[in-house]
Amino acid sequence: MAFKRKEATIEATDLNAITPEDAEKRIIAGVRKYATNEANWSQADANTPFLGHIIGMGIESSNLADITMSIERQFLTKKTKRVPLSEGSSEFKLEDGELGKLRILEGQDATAATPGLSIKMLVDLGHMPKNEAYLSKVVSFAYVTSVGEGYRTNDALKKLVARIEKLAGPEKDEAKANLKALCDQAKAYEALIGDAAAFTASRQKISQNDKAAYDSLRQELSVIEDKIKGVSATNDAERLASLRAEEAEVRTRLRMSAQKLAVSSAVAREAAERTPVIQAKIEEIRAIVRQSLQEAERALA
Amino acid sequence: MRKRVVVTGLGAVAPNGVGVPAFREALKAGRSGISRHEELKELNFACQIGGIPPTDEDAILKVLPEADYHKMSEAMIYAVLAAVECAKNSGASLDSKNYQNSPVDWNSGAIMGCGIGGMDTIFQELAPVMAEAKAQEPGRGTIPMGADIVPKVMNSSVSVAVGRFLGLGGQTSSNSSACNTGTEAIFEAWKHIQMGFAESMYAGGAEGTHFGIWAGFDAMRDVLCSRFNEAPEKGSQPMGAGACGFVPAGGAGVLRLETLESAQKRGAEIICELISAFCNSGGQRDGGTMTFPNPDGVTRCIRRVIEDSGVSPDRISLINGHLTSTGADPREIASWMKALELPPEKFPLIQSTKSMIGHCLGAAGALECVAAADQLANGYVHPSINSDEIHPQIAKIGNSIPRQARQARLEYVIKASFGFGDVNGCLLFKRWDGK
Repeated sequence: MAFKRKEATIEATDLNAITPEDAEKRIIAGVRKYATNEANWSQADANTPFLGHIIGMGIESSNLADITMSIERQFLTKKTKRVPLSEGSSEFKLEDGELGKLRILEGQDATAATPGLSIKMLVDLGHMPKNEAYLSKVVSFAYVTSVGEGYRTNDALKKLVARIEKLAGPEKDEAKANLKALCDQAKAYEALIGDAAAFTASRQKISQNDKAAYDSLRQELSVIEDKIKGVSATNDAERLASLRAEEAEVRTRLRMSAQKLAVSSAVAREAAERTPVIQAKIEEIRAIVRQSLQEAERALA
Repeated sequence: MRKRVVVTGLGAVAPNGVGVPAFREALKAGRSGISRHEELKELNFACQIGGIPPTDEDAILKVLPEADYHKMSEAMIYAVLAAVECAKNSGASLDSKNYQNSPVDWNSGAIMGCGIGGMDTIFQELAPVMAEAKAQEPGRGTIPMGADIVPKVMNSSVSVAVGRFLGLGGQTSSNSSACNTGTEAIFEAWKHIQMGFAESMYAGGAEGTHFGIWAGFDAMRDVLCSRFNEAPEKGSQPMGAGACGFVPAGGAGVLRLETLESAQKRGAEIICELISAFCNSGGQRDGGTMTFPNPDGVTRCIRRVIEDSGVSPDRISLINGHLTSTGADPREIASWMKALELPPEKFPLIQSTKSMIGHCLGAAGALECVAAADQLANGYVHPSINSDEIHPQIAKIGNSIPRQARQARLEYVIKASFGFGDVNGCLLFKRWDGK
């Protein structure tokens, strides 16, 4: 008998004929093979971040594309008709057609950071009907990332405190200086996430900066496009080729900037809305960070 | 002055037993791990037998987290199973299901080799996707293969898999020298410790059993055994009159090498001592080719190990040969005789572990070293099966071939391996007497 792996047969389900809870179960089961932390995995729910190493599943970032593929393989949708974004363009959008394989286009999964947010992505893209009751229990991307940041800070605090206990002499002094800086960072985090207005303002500021960077690139592209128009009439092939290369580079940067802006805009929009589920997550992480800060203060004393 | 290097852990995933206790029991019983494989028959291989470790997904998932299992090729899985066993029986504290919680062991590294590599991944995951790639959308040709292909097929896949589970902070690297790989890995690890770069090293080799690994050998026609498809357990006949080619196999063997000082400081149980090691090449001259060893290279390699050790050849109790069940076996015996300079009546016992497990390629030397170390530590000699009728060219040392298992207080066991490319390796182990 040769070495064989058991192969799971995946039967794709119509997203219009399934509840969000069942879709969530399927997503969690499909992602299971990528989770290195089985103990955390067993407690995964709609709001467990795919990448959160403390509260999450220990999935490596390289597997995020695999998670999207896993979701694609499990569901069927009516949004299968490909409509070009413009005439002759290879880029397309999906509109209603025959029931067929689910296709998640590039960038559409940018904020699908938890099973619940994956469901939200499918709803937002029109692949499945909206279910307000379910979505009200899903922590927004803005707070998944921000609460995750708290867990990472807390983890760093705990590790450094534990390390300091084993050190002596100049090494201990250096570690204490690092701990003090980390405490300041943790306090700032705890205060910011606790203040809804300040937190929202900080996320809006980030989004505004991203918007400014995006607009600047659009302006840069516009200038190049004008130059190309001008040179096209002169038959200067060398100059035209150079401008075309420049245009391609700026378009690439613009595409990346647009993706970044889409994410930060979503975060800025969502930051202002704190549902009871989100508020509970915030209070939980604040309490954890405060507890670790007390331990850190003792280590610094 | 050389450091004293001892063996403090063993791990085995062999065709006739998974785990050192099962492997030992099979060796003592003279039990073959060779069986017939329908898949090879369906593919019209000339050789339809092989050695595949008797393990399955359920057993593997008791040791490894499922996510890691999916991220590993067959060879990586075998390497990790053997390394985890080796680490545990060397006294290391390890929970392999939650390995990420253990701290980095900055004093240990790994040299784990592989002969061919992740052929199973190439056939099952990479090739099918590439066959469909032209029909995919622009930029999506390779995406369906997933994100884990490179770590599964890169040359260092087996060593980094071991390093990941054991949290190794020392050099973690893979060597490759065909069928000498496992033995060479142990030599490299020994050398690394001698140079003071690590206190302890995990060393060995691993190989998968996918037909893609064996196909090239089968294509060479006279290299693999094709006359015993109806009697697989008789197929591997090292030194036997009916030897007609080696039987392909796979698995993994791992030894933990450590300075004597480190082992004693840890209070580790010492299995045996590795007192001398060497690797060389025959230069593919004077009879040496890509597939045959230069006999002078083999003799020089063995002699160098004996000379470096200062041990008189007549104190060697047992030879664990490369002995693959091919026409090269008599040539290997001649090299041993020339190197040891002993008359036939004083020739040590000589055995081939391959008689029971087949030729595990990149894992062969390592698994055979596990067998050698275990025999030294537990005072037995395993039989070289299928050698009742020996090859006429080696009749004069016929009495040195153990046909039955026996109890024996061995003093020195010498092990050699040879590989395609005319490369050689030799190691000399000594029984541990407590000082």
